Amino acid sequence: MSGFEYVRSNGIQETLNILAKEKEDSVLVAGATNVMNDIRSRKLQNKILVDISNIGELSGITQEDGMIRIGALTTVADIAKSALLCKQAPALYQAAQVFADPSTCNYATIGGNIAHACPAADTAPPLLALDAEVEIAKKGNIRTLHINNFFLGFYSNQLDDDELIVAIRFKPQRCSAFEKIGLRSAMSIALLSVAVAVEIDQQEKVRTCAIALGAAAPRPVRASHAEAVMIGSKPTPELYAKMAEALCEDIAPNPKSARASKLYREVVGGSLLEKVFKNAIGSAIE
Amino acid sequence: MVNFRMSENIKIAFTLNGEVVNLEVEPDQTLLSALRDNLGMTGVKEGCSIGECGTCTVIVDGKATKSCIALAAAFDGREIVTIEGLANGDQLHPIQEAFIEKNAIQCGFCTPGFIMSALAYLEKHPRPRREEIRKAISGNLCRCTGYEQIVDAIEYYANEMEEAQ
Repeated sequence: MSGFEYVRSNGIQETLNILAKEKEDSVLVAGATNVMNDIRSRKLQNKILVDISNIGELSGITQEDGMIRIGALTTVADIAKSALLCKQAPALYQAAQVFADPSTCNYATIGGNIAHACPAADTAPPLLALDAEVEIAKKGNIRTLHINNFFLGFYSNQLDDDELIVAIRFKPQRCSAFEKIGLRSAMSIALLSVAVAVEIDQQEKVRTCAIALGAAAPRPVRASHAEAVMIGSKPTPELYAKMAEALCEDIAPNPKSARASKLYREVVGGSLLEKVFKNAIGSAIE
Repeated sequence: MVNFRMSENIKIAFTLNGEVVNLEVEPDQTLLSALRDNLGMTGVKEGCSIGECGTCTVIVDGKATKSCIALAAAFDGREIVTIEGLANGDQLHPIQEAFIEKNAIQCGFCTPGFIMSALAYLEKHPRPRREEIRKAISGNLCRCTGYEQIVDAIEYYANEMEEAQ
């Protein structure tokens, strides 16, 4: 006896009705790449598995009213080959290139990646840097949450048991970039990842700047100390050095974090951030 | 004491190596287990069971799929190809011949996964560069041969296919 039930949902409303009824007894399953491991490790037990993988209206990348909208079921493979994102949101596009191997990317969804709320989730830093909004539905209600308020802590988010992520929206941001450091080049979980979105004014000063980190804290975070150093100044080697120093204030991993120490992340973080920052500025010039 | 739900099996049907099969799966059963335990497709190997090693890779609707982290019940109506679906009787598939030709096999446990990942990729990208082949098989681990012969075999097969056209 496995203690699980399975129900296939064919639409958003049907899903919301099931969630409203079953609440904490239910678990949404899309690409299943995380859920199956949670079942195997018995982190999940005795649940109703609500299969939403066939809901077409939850999938797709569109641009309207100056915003890019990505349906929650859009796969990482779809993001990785999106010409629109390559041009308008390079940070997210670049994260999809190094997310995992092709077969994992064929199934992993952007909604699932943020709902899982892993501190090292690869789509999280780009979405934080892009100031993304998360569209969340429940029966009879839709709300919008800034991605920075979505993540609560270690593998925890603001979603209620009866809620479904419908889509993620953000403004195009050509000057953005992403990179991660892992133990190998394929299938690696980030030891540290960095996303930057930046606007440079005519005096070559940083007008706005958003820096986000994965695997630097119990949840994906914005690097507010590093951001503060850059805003209003012209990037120089000295300024980058100050940024790297300030970044140490933003890196606060769980001391028990097994993959890398705080010191390691501080040491590589400064140079990684400088590289990504320059890439973000560079994508303006291209 | 947890009160466990009464699990009901799910009836599904999909096309397996060209033939429609009907089966009943448990609500949380993996596609890997359904293929091996319900349908006898033991060429689909179980390695890490957590989506890291790729030896369980099958092709679903043209896409490389790690069957160990796929929920079987969700595959109703799909078209699935496993390593068993490649040979024509005693006649091996040309990519299987290429793996033999290039000595890309040692213990053989990872081979079905590599072949399915490669085929899924080559279907859409018939003229791959070596680097693209490496990326296509980046979710597959081999602990015996190293990867050079495997990439050689896939490249050899792709060239053969190109010449045959």
